[in-house]
Amino acid sequence: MDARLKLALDAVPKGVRYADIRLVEWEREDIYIKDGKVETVTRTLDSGIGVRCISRGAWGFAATSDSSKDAIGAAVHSAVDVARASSIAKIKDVELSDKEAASGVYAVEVKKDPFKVSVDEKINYLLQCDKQLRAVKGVSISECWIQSWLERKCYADTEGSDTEQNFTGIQCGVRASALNDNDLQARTYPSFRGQGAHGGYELVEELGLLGHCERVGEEAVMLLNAPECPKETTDLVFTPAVLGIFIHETVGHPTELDRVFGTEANYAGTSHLVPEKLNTFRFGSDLVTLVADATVPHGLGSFWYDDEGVPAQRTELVKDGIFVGYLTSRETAKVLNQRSSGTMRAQRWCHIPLIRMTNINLEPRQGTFDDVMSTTDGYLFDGFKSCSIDDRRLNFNLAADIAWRVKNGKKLHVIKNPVVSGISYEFWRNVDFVGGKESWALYGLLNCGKGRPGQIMKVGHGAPPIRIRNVTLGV
Amino acid sequence: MMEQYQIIRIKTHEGLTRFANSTIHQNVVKDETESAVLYVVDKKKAVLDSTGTEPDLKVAREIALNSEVNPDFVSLPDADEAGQPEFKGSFSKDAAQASPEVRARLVKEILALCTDKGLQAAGYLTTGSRERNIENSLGVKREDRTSFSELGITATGAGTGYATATHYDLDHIDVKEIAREAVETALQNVNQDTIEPGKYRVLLEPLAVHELFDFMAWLGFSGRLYDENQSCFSGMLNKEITSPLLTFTDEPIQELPGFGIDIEGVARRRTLLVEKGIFKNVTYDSYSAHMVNKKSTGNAFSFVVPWGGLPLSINVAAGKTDIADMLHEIKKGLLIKRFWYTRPVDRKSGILTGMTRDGTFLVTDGKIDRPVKNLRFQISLPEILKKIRMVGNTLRLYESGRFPHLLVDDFAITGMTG
Repeated sequence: MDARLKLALDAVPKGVRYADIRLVEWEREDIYIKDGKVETVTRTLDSGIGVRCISRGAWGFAATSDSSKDAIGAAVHSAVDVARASSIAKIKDVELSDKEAASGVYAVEVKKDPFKVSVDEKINYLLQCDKQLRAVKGVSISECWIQSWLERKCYADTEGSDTEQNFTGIQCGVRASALNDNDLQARTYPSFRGQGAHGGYELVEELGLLGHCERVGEEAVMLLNAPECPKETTDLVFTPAVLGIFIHETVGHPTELDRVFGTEANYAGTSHLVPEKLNTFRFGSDLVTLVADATVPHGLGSFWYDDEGVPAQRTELVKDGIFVGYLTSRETAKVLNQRSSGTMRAQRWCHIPLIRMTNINLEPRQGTFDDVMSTTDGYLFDGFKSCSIDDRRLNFNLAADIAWRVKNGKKLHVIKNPVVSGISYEFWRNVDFVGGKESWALYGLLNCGKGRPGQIMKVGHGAPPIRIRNVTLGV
Repeated sequence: MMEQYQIIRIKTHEGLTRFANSTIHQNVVKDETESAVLYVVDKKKAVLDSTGTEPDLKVAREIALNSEVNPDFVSLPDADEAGQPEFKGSFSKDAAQASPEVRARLVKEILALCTDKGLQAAGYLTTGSRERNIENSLGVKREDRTSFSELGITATGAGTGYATATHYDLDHIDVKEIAREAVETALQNVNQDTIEPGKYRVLLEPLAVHELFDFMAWLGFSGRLYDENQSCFSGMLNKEITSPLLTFTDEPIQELPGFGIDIEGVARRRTLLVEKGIFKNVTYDSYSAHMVNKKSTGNAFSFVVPWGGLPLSINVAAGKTDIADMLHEIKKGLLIKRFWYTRPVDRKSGILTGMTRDGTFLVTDGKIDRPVKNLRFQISLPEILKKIRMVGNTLRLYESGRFPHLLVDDFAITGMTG
C-alpha cells in the first residue's frame, strides 16, 4: 500500500463507521495545432488525496494537494468534521450495499508509451496532418491535436480494500472548417472531439489521422455549399460516431440511479426511467439491447475497480427493448436491495465519486453497413455536432456534422446542418436495423459533465450503425 | 534568443454542501495549491501546470525548446500593457472561512422552508476563497484574492421551481428569499398545459437572459473569433447588432466573486461592448490582441483556448420598464424562468437550441395564465437581440454578470417535453 494511503487510514479516528482514501496522480500532455502553428504544448502534473467517510450516519469528504503527513492527517479530520456537520440535516443514516475487499495492482496494456514518443515527433505528425487539411481548397481553419495521459489511482478503505490502477490513454483528432461571411461548416475525424481510448501511442498510429485529412477537408468545403436540412418525416441511418452521443444522452444519463433518486435534481436533472418502470417499460424496439460494460478493452469507461472498490462489471440496462437496469453505487443500490454495479468515479483526487457512465454500448445484431444503406430511402447522419435534451431526458435535439441523402445504397448528395428531434424512447422504439459485430465501433469521450463542483469524466460508447424509421428531420 | 515566461500561482479553499430529498447527500472541502508557467523561447510556447506553489521553470523551458516556432506570438504583456488595476477582488472573511457547520445550518433552514410548504428541496451552497499571484519576466507582478458564495435551490412537489444567488459575501445571500422564490414557482408550476409550436412574444426572466448572454459572449464577442470571421457578429463593429434599447459592458462587478486582473496579470477594465444597440468592442487576451496589433483588454482566462479572451462579467444597463408593464404588453405569450441545455446548432449564425426548465408560463392578456410543459426553442441570437421590445428596470446578479428582464418578440418554440 502506498505510504500516504496508510498514513491516511491510520489517521481515521475510532468511531468513524467507514472511510475510503484515494490518492491520484496525473501526468498529461496536450499538443494543439491550429492553422499550421503550434498554439502550445501543455504538460500537466496533478496529484492529491481525497478522503471520504461516514460519521454520525452522514457523508463527509475532504481533499488536499499537500502530501505531507500533517496535511493528510488534517484532511482526514476535516472529512470527519464535514460528515458530522452533514448529520445536522440528515433524515436517516447512510447505508451501503455489501462488497468484497478489493486488492491488486493493474495497468492498461501499452505497446508504445506515449510519453516516450517525443514531443517533436508528435508535432511533426500533426503538422503533416495540418498541411494536408489546408491543402484542400476552401479550408479556412485547420486544427489537429494529441492528448496523452497517465493516471495512477491508489485506493484503500476501512473494509480492507487496497488497489492500484494505472491508466494510460490517448485522445487525438483532426478538424477542418470552411468559412464564408454567413456560414461555418466543420468536419472532424475520428469523432467530434477526436477519438479517446485507453492504450498507448499505437492507437494514434492505428487511427491514421493523416489518411483522412483530405476527405475531412473536402467534406467541410462541400458542406459550405450544400443545401440546408429539409423538414420532413423520413428514415435515418446513424453511424456509430453519431449514435455514441445519442446513447450517452438518452440511455447513459437517465439510467444513473442517483439522478433517478433526485440528487441531481438541482443541476443535471432527474430521469423519466423511475424504478416503477423497471422490467416493464418498453424503451426501444426488440433489437435494442444496451449495456454498461466497464470491461471492454481500450474503453475510456473501463477499469478494474470503481472509486468505491467495487469490481468493474457488465450490466444490462435495456434488454430486447425493455428497460431492465441502472448504473448504481453502493448507497443507491442498497435502496433497491441490490449490490453496486460499480460505476462510481471521480474526475480528480479533489472530487467526490459520483455514479458515472462506464462504456454504454448498443449490442450488435446482424447486418453490415452496406446492408442498411442498400435498403434505406432517407438520410445518413455522421459526425456529432451538438445535442440538447430536457432535464428528464425525453425531448432531444441532435445535430450532426453532415448528412447524405441516400437511396438504393447510394449517397446522392450532402445536406448541411442536419438535425433531428423527438422523444428519446419513441426514437429507440422505431429502430428497425442494428448492425452486426463487424460494424460495431467504440468511441471514447473525455468530457461527460456532472455534479457540483463540476466534474468531467472519461466514458465510452460502442455501437454498430442503426436505422430509425419515421423520424422528424429538420426544424 | 528571446525568452519570456509567466507564472501564476493559485490557492483555493472551497467548501460545497449539496442537498436533495431534504437531506445533505454530499458535503466536501478542498484545499488546493497549484501553479502554471507559460514559457516562450524564440516564439516556441509551452505550459506547465503542476500541484504546489513552485513551478519548475527548467522543465517548462525544456518543453518549449521541443516545440515549434509560432510566428503569431509577439510578447507577453509588459507592465504598460498590464496597466494598474482599478478594481480589487472582493473578499469577505465570512465566505472564505465558512465552516461545513455554517453551511449545514443554512441548508437545514432551507429544507425547513421547503418542507413547510409540502415540497422537497435540492440544491447546493458553496463558499470559499481563491488567491492569485502572477508574475512575468517583463516586470508584471500582481496578486489578488476573492471570496465566493453561491446558493441554488430547486423546490420540488407536483411541479418544480428554481432560484439561485451569488455574491462574494455569504451575508448577502438571502437564504430565505431564494427559498421563497423557488417555492413560489414550484407551487405555481403545477398542472402544466401544452401549447402549439410557433413564434411567441416572451418575457425572459434575468436567469434566462443570463444564459443567452453567456452564449453571446462566446459566439459573438471573442476578439479572436471576430478577427477570424468566426463570430456571429464578424464584420459588424460599429453597426447595429441589437435593439437600441440594449447597452452592456464587460467589467468587474464589485458584488460578484472575481479578480481585478486576468490570468495574465492585465488589469480588468470596463469595456463597452454594445451601446444603444451599436457593436462597440470585442475582448482580447494578449496573444490574440497582438496578432492584430492591438492590446489585451484584460480578458484572458486560459493560456490555451482557441477562442482567445472572452467577456468575463457582463453588466447590462437597466431599462425603464417594470415587470408588470412588460407583462401588460403580452396578449398571448410566455414567461420563461430559465433555460436548460442550451447548445449552439450553428455557431456562425448564432443559432441556439435548448429547453425551458423549472417554470414556463402562458401569459394571456397581460396576466400569468397557467404553467406549460418544458418547451424546446430554437432561435437565432442575432435576430432575437434585434427583437427586444423592452428592457426591465431591475437587475439580478448571476455568476457571469448582471441582467434584466427582457421582453422579446418572435421567440421560436419548436417542441415540448414528453
